[in-house]
Amino acid sequence: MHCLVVIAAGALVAGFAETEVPAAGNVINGCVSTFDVTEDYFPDKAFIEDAGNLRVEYHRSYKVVTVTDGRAAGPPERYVLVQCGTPPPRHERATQIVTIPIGSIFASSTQLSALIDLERLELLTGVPRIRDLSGEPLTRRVATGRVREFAARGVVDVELVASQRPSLFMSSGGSGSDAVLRNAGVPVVANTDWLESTALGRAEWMKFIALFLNEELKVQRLFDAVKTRYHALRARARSDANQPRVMAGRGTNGMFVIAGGRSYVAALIADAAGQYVWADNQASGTAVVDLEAQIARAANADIWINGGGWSNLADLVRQEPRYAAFKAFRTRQVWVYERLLEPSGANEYWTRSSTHPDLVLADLVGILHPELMPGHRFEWYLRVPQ
Amino acid sequence: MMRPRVALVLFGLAMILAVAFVMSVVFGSTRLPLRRVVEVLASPSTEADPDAWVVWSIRLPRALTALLAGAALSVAGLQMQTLFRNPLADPFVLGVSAGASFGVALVVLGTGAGATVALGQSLGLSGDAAITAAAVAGAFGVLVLVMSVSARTSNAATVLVLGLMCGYAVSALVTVLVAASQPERLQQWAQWGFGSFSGVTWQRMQLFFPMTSVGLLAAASTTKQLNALLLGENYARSMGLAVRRARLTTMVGASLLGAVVTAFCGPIAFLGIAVPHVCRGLLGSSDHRVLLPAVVLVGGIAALAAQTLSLVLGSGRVLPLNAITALFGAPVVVIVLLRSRSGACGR
Repeated sequence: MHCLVVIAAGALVAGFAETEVPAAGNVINGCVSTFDVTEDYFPDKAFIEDAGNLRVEYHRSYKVVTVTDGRAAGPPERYVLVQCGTPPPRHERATQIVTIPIGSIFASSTQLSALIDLERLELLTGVPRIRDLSGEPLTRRVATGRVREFAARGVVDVELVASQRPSLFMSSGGSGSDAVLRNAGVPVVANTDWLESTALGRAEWMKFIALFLNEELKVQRLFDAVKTRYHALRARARSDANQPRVMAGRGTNGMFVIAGGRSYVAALIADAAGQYVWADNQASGTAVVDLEAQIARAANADIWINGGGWSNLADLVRQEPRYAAFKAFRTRQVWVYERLLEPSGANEYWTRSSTHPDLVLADLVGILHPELMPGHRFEWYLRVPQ
Repeated sequence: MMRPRVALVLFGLAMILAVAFVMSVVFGSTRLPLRRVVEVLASPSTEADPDAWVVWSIRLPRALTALLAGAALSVAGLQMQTLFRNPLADPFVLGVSAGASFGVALVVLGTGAGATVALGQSLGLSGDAAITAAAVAGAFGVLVLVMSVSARTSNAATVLVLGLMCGYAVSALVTVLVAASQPERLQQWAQWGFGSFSGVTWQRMQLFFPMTSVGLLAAASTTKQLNALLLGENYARSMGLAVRRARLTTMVGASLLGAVVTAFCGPIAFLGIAVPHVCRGLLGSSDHRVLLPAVVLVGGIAALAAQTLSLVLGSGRVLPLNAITALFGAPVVVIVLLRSRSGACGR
């Protein structure tokens, strides 16, 4: 990808430098008034480094974004993003053509973090359910009354979306409503950040959203900062020779839902210099194991993360007396990401953590190696009180 | 007097049940040497010994749960098949399984069911205990509804259809809840639907054991009525049986057995319908005085075997119990039925 952009930039300098002075930056609002076939309308570009499921390719007046696994059966999804005011390319095969920069977006709650970071929340006009949202920027946006609920009952209300005509509907991929909405003339793209196997890879999908806003300049800076902090924290954690054993998840009905060994949770634990008890597991999302298997693996784990729904330790054994088999429970090392959980059930962790793996990692290093993070103020994690 | 062949079969079944029980304590999703299992059983457990937790608090209650649940479902199935003179009847024909599912769906899927959750919390219930309470409430609700409507008819087939309709209607409500819920909750819902004997802890056993035992004892006292009903309601009436009352108590008893098991273990579909057929085939008899103990034994064996298989085959991952019972059970039923001389799905 670097190569492509370098060649494009080189061609620009060699071929067009005398005839056309490149624009100061990408067009963030509105359309271009005149179309010049020789002009590069995207002087600011984004490079994909960590996300495995996402590619971008720049042309002068349009970008081709490829989502390798968009959760629909068939070939990778190709989205052609055309600068407003320029003609769409005739020869590009496209799953979806989108005119950019977009003026409004319908998106899921886990996809909003990028809009907040880019300070472009004014584009948000639709979310699945308003009561899943929390945090100051989102509540302020909702208070304007310009945000509609499009799946209040769990199913996407296609008629509502079609009548609202957002410039973009961002799905999580593979939903039956995607095709229906496309037929109704609503541009639909799949955001499958949740399929990434590393937290940085997942966070890099903030660029996916920025591509539709022409906000490459800002997003490159944001992501680079996140990545730098993440790497620094990882290096700091690795300076500790002691690697505590970590278990993750919660039980249900004699079984235990674990984070898979190939999930971004497992990757985060490894980066926080912890030994995940299921590191050899092959699942990339979650997996269900027998409680007996979990006890055999994790009885001696030092720390238990990512359970939830408990207000104190007594709650745990009230729900499942066999939790007492875990050393982490007996030594009161049970941590949940519910510091900002609201009574309504909304949790800022879900809306904000995807683009802030640095903050998640900081919390995890603070849990696993407290001596390395003196005075750390936890962002999302909370130790379950006695 | 019991025929010698029957006595022999029952004795053999009891032996197999004992072996199946021991196997399910010795084998699990993790490997523990037999010596270690015996050691742990012999010595009082310590809090920090994972093996002790596995044997005492997971495998033993799980085996006991499987035994009781298998026996309860099979007996309830036998009662319903005789009562409705229908080889396809099972403990859930009156809709209790659908009712229990509805209760659980309200708690687990809980969209807009803040009230339900609050109710659970005010009763001091959370997690699995809340699920059990909701299942019992749902099953009872449907049972009361079906029984009150069926009091208006004396035709058994009509009652059967009533139960079926009620089940469909309640299942439709569950579908509405499922459609409106979030993916992470659906996972827990799906888990419940797989069926499991692992959720009954010693604490919950204090409820489960007496409830199923009382139900089984009550069923044992109905063998004479069932034998009379086998020959038709008119014959039963001529024998001096209060048919209406016998029918009512048997239906309620069988449904409650089914409801209790569903509440604690999830909907377990196959055992209740299949085990009675296996026993009729094995014994070549429809006499409930011998069928009932055989059904208890075979039900226990089938549930224990399915439980052990689901763990051993899964090697750490959990294979759904419902898949195992039907996958391995169906061929067994077919073989037994084809081999038994009567061959009939006796009534």
